[in-house]
Amino acid sequence: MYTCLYLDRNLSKRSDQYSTSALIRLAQDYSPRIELYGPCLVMMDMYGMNQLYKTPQEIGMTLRRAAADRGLVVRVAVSATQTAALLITQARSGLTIVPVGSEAAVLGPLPVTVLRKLAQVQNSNSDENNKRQKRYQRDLHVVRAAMSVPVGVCLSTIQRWGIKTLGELAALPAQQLFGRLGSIGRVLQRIARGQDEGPLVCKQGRDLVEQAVTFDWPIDRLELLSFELGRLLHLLCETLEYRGECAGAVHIQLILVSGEKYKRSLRFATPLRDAQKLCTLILLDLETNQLPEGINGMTVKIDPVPNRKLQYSLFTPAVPSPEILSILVARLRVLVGAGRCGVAELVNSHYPGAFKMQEFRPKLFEEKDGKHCEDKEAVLRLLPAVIRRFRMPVRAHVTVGKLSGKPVSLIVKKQRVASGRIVASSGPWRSSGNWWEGDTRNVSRDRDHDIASHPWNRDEWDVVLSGGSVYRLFRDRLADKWFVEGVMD
Amino acid sequence: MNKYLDQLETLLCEKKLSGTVSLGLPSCPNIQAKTGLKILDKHLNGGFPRGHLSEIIGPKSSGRSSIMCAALAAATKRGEIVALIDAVDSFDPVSGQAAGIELNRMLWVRGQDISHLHAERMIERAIKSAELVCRAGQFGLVVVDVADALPIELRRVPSRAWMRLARAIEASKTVGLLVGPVSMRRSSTGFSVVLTPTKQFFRWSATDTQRNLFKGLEFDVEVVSTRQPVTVFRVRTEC
Repeated sequence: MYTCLYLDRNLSKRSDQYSTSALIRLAQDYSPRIELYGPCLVMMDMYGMNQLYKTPQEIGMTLRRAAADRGLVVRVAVSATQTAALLITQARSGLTIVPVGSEAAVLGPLPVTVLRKLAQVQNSNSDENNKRQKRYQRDLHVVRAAMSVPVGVCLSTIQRWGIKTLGELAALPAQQLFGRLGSIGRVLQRIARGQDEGPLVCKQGRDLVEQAVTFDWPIDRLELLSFELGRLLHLLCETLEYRGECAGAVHIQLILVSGEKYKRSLRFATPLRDAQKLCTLILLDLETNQLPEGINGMTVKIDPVPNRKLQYSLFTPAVPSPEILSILVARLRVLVGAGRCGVAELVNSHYPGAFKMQEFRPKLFEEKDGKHCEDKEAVLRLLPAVIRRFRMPVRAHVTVGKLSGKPVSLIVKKQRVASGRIVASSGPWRSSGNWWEGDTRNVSRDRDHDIASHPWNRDEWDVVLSGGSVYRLFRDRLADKWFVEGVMD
Repeated sequence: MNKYLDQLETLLCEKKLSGTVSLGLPSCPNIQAKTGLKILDKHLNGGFPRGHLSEIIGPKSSGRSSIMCAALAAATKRGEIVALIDAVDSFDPVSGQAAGIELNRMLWVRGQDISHLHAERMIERAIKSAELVCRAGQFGLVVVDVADALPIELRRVPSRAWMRLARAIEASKTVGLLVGPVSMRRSSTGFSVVLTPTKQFFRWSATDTQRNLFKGLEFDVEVVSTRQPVTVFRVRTEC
């Protein structure tokens, strides 16, 4: 069962743009499946509504009352086919109920000019410049080719034949009509009989994936919040599933007792649609960032993105699913802190050991040259020498030989760095950079990429201690101090 | 006798208790993860066993990190996802990439600098992180690097923490690798790779002491396992 709502623009004092938006909102309040056929012309699929309303008459009356409450004067037609409902709204005002199976009989007395009128309504697009209208037009099918094309070409021909009503058009012999007008003639005849050319193609706007709740009393614990959050996310995920979309980001807004708003936004590495996993990620994020006390209400908004499409290979190693990885990284962040878990990315700098952290988003392994991964296993002849770097270089006292100019002993107060006599050394290897940036003595070493972007000027030494370990030292030439940078291992 | 032994082993495997006894084969069939170093793979019977904890033990400058990076590089080159639980945040990504690790396939969990935290807590946190990673599944290699911890601190770690980690790895295709100064907790089927610097363990690029470059380390590798006799060989690293 379909219901067509048509807003009579002659009776409406408001602009077409506002009226169409209001009409869409009205239709969406009663049915999730709607299609916009043109400005102020909306088709609704009323499947399942008979459980709420006993008769089509009741459905139509309810819609007219709801529209009147919103200041809209609408024509309503309820029919088993979309075509019949569309045509009737162009010819009759008020509410029209078409009994099932008698669409052709009801349409029969209508003049054929109603087809032209419908085409004009569909093609009139006075709101073209309006953004909101444009968005809806992108998301919803505005005009169907089958309904708009034949009218302009063939209607005058049909009228010249003396055909005045849709009933007369429907009664014409189909083969002869096809012979004179081609396939367009057959389409016009089906329309005149009230037959549909295709199913309802519905889509919804993209800004409606949002749920909000207000609590009876303030909540101050994560466990209590999780129940309501889970419920809201289930509703949102059902909406996403219905649309065939996923969540690219979630925005949480907590309304506190003080009236302030606490906002958090989570952007996911890969689109998600599992309510339980989304809930876990949000709770872990709130746990990491100290949940504020006294929450009066909550709004959850999801940015919908298209569903991801992946093609797996039988010959590449399995990797964890993106959902599992997202939760794993969130749990690790709670454990070790934000920014301390991810992937290292080398930065374009000569600063020793410069890198920055990035989010962990492993890609599927790509086979090269059609070989399987077993064939490409690395075989090393010699092991690479690796340095273990102290992220904060350790202050050291180094004695330098007067004649040789080389370091001869190393004393470090830190327990984990050995002190002792230097038995062999290599250096100095001078390096400097970013000297144009300013003074190096106030460098904040809290963040790795900050270090790389600040000036440095130093002499490096590789030294072997008598105790049996190889360290890399450097003398900061600007501060004239010695540091231990790392140990060769 | 063999029949009853087989039945017992099957029962232990069903109950996921195969890690507590020394079986003829690892619980995951076939499956060794090569380290990329041919001589080491030969002595490990093909590589570190999957589903078990192995360990790399040695003092400072004994090549522990070199072997660790070689194993990580080999795993990433096979297309596996790996994780490095860096307990004291001492991994150098530049050296790692030079060693062949594909950094974008390595989840790096950085602990705090050891001066900021009690060492035992830091180690327990690293083990907990490794456990989370192992339970997520599908990681080819999970390395717990506690090489900068003191032996006494490692001994203070409750054995149940290591047990939990071993249990998380058990019957998966993940290789668990512990890197530290002393033996920590090896699975019954796992290997201990014990590294000892040689007498002249450091090598220079030239004999000229004025302008020589540090070239690499030289150390003895001892492969210890309950399944085979101890074998020793010598390995060099090179810058």
